[in-house]
Amino acid sequence: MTSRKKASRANDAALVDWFATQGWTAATFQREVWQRYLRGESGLLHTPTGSGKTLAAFGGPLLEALREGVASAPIKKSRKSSPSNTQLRVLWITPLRALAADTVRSLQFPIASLGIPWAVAMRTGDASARDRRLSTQGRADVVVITPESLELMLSYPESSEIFSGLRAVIVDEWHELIGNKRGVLLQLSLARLRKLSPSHRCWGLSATLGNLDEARDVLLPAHSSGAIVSGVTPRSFSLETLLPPEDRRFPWAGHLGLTQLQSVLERLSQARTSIVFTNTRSQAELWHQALAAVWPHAPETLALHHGSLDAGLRSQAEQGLCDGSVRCVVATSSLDLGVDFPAVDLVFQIGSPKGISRLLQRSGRAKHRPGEAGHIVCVPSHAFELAEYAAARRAIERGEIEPRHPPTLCLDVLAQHGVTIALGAGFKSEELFEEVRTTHAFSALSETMWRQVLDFIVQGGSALSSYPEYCKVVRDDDGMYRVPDRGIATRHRLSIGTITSDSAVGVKFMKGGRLGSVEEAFLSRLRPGDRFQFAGRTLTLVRLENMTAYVRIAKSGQGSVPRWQGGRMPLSSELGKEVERVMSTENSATPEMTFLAPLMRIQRKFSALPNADQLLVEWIHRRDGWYLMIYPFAGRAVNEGIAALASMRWSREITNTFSYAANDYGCVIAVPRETPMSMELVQRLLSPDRLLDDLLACVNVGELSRRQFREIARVAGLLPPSLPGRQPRKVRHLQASSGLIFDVLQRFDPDHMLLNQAQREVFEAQLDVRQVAETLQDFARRRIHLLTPEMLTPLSFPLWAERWRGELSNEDWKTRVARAAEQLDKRSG
Amino acid sequence: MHLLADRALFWPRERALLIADLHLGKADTFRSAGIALPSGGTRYDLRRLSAMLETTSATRLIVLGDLLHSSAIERSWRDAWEPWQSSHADLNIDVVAGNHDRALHALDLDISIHDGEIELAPFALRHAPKPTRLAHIVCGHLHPVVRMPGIARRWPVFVMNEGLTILPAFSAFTGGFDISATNGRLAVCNGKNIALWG
Repeated sequence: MTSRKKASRANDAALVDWFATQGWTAATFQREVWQRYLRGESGLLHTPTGSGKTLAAFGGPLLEALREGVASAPIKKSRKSSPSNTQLRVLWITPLRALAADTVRSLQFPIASLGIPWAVAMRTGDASARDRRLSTQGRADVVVITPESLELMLSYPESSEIFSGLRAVIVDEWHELIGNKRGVLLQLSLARLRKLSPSHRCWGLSATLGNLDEARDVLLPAHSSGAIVSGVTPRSFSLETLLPPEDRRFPWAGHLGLTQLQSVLERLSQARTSIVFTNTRSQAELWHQALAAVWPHAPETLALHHGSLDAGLRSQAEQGLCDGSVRCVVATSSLDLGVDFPAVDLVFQIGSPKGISRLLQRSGRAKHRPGEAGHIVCVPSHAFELAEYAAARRAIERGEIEPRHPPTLCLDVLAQHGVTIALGAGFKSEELFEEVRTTHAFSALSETMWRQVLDFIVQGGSALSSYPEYCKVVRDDDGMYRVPDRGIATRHRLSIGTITSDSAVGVKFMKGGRLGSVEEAFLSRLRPGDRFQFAGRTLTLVRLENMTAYVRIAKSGQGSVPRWQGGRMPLSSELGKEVERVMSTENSATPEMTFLAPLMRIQRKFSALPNADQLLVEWIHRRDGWYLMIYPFAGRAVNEGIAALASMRWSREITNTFSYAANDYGCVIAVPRETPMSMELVQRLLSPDRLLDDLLACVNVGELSRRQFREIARVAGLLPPSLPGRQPRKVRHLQASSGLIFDVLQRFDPDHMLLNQAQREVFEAQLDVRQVAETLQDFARRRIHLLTPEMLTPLSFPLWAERWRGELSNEDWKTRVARAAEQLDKRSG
Repeated sequence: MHLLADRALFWPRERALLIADLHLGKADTFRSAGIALPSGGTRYDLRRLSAMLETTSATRLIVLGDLLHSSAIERSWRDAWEPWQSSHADLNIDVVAGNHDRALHALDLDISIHDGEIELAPFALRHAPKPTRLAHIVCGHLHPVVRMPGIARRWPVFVMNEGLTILPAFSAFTGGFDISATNGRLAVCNGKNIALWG
């Protein structure tokens, strides 16, 4: 053992020495990863950002280069003299474009300092022309890339050669990818890389997850014994809540939190540099606008950062945070990850924390140095968020953290990947089938399913006769699948990826500066001359043409703020349960619950407090209808599933129209006509028996599948690509909503694999059947506490204010239209 | 003029059925662009049309523009259209050419094509609306739809104003342009029923 240790010390001496010249000491976990890499191992490193994970993962390839005395041709010379396309050694995959530039910088530093003649290029949507050229011609040694851009590279035939000399693949922020379809797409890309360069090593970098073993297995399906290396132990954590002044009535619902503006400003002024995290882009715009109105410092010291802003504006804000010229950045999750900002003193969370791991990650953005305590200041936007903060603190103290489960058998993603590979190297059916089955996501792919996917991309669907004149992927005489049509190839490349967005319209100044993009649905409601709020400015729309909105700065006044679809993230069920526990006692030692005590007293006086032993149900009559409120505390998705199920069961018993809505705590079913209510009825509605059959019945009735189909249609290539500012002329004939396409498939090809997938996703991802079942089992154990408050209670008020998410009715359609019209009259009159 | 629940007008005096925006062959256009939509939509729309011709005993069909979806000529929609037209041999078909109908003249479909509008007092039948006119304009083009609170989806709607009536798009595979009750008197329909809105 000792001799081996000595040998390995010699192994990484070059890097250990270089660390010393920088005044650093290599951490144990860093050296462990280097040595494992040098021994040819793959693995997963979990450690918080800012702990030195980049050098942990990059050190191995650096040492390897030093050992081999790499002599790479200087870039300029190579154009003519080196026709080889196999210079690429290290592929660094990062989930966020915003991270790429920073990663390039932190990789270039040791390369230059150690004198390794490597060229680093960025290959993302934001990359420069020089970087794109280097990476597409294979003349970079290290490429930093997003999963989508990697897949895009695979759509070019040259990619086979470019990737053939690959030594190392590093997947940064793997925890951000494992639980979604982007991760599934990446699994497929990685399977291809394993084929193109069988001997490369793959390392994942992840924050701590509740299911690390699974995270390793999904990333490294070929190395089930791959190492899991743990980095530095999590830092101590402190959470502070900015309590609203006692004398002010604090809202029971809402999402902005601007009542707290003054106290946030005071805290901001005490700190040198801060990040204010919000949950949505519109919230970020509004907070930026509000802060700007009262900002006592130079205006340029306040910045905005979110995913719809132009890359230039985003990097300005990041740069400002790095060099300290910006005092405060209002940001969304676009700043959650990676980029190190050692200068940041203070982090705020506006509104709900949503999850335990998310709050931890955000808190880690302040004083981003190993060993220092993470601290976050939470700013509630409505009263119950106080309970969420108290719950999050308790969960973090107990070291509880959410798992992220990987999706499987996403046939839409597989169909997209199939077209991509046909477009690139081309494929033979049997070979690609075997290749994709090596991934975790498709290990259970049956030959029948594979046949369906092939039929879909080659002939349109399983019944050839239903798809005359269809043309996309074509099978050659030699059994090779390819894409011969250039127009189809271009459109496919434009739509690679899995992130759904509405038609995005580019926003540009008349003189040319780009600001970013907003959804078409928002801009189509504006007329020239109308004002709106975007990129931290009040803008006047001058004209809208070719998917670009030309704007100028408005002279005065305020404008409406765009809303971006998607992304109302549910509270994690772990945090939800903890909230229920925290609320079950009126008095608690935490400042948050002390503040909430009067509200909880009202809840108890008119109804009851939630409690783990009994299920609170409220039946409330108001002028506009009767409301059944149920509080499972299982997160929005699960609560919505329970609402859909209970509505359907109820509709079997009586004739009425049932509208339902859900939030993170509970759900509401509203009926417009009076109907009897009893504990036995509630028990029947929430029974765990016949759950699957009943859910299936209500998925057929409801709109859930149709809505879920939006993402599937986009990923599988059933919707034309939409790009900010670029709408190819020919695409205009191809406009159709995913809902219409869903209707067409259902009517004329009802067995379509993507319709089945929509239903499966509704069950697994959206309704989370497993968790609905667990929740109902739990109800069966609990006593049902049915109360009939005379007014809306603190818990029911936010539900009442929610937008209806679904509806089913066995009433006559005409009656309903008449009633809806009547209500509209009442409201306006 | 009678409003029919499956997105058409019937004019007893002329024994004419009026529809707008049939968009024949829309799915064909998608398929040849590599977007896998099944066929059947054209036949489905034509069946709906047959059903209304039968119940109204109309002898004339007036299409207010956008009979076709794409300008590309000869697609599989003709396999549905030709048998349909021969099974309605006595039907006179007038089409006001719409913005999607550039290829219409070249197709030789045994229909009367009108560029601009058809004047049938007191109405002027057009594809797109036009603001100031003496005759009452009946047109299509906009694909009006309406959202109603508490009722999912968007529903096709007739928009009726002083001097202007806009028909919903006839084809089931068409999107829509959101209209609110401030745009005029609205009649919303779902294929079986029709109801006034707002």
